[in-house]
Amino acid sequence: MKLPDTRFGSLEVRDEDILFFPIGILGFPEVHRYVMLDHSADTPLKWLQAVEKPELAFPIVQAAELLPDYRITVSSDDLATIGLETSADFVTCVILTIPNGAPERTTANLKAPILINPKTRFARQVLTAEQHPVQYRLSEEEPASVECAG
Amino acid sequence: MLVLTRKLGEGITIGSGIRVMILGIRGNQVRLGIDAPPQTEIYRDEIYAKIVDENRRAAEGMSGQTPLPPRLAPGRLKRRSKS
Repeated sequence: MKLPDTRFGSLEVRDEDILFFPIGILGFPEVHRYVMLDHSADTPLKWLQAVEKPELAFPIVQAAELLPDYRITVSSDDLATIGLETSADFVTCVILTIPNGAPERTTANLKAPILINPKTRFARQVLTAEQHPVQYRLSEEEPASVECAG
Repeated sequence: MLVLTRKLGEGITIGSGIRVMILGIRGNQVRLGIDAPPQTEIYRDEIYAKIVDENRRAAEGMSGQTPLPPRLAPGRLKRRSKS
């Protein structure tokens, strides 16, 4: 399938690479299919590119790459929507807000990560039970742990 | 907006699968109980608005000209093995 006019130019997308979001990403309920693209080989930054909406893409990073101690509690109902019964086997990504022209002010949304079931390729954004911040500032240092309120 | 008055212990039914009960009233706080199918999304308004807002900002940021955030710049992160 061809995706014309994304911010990455024209993309060729294979059906087997498509992630399905049954309820979309909050605020974008009409978009259900995304593909994950590498930004480049030398950074963990990736993009969640919408299939139905070429102009829509979210910068994301696997949580484990950024915050090894990041822990979340997710309801079993939330897991059930992506075909998981236990919390054992999903990939957790966080959405980054990278202000245009000010990458040093980048924040990560730790409150509402994206969970991906790698087997079924179903995914959803969930609200964590923890008091994780919506705007966690990426400091230059690698943090030892996340302790945050709000 | 439909407006209904309910007493403590009473409820409303929405569609065929959603029930909302008034479980408690104390001062200006109302405690609600909600029964809904598992796939129904239920959020507190303010946190829902905050996440939607942040998602929109994330989708609008970083044009092609913006350099990578320092933490994600090449050489800054030890690559972990993919799970």
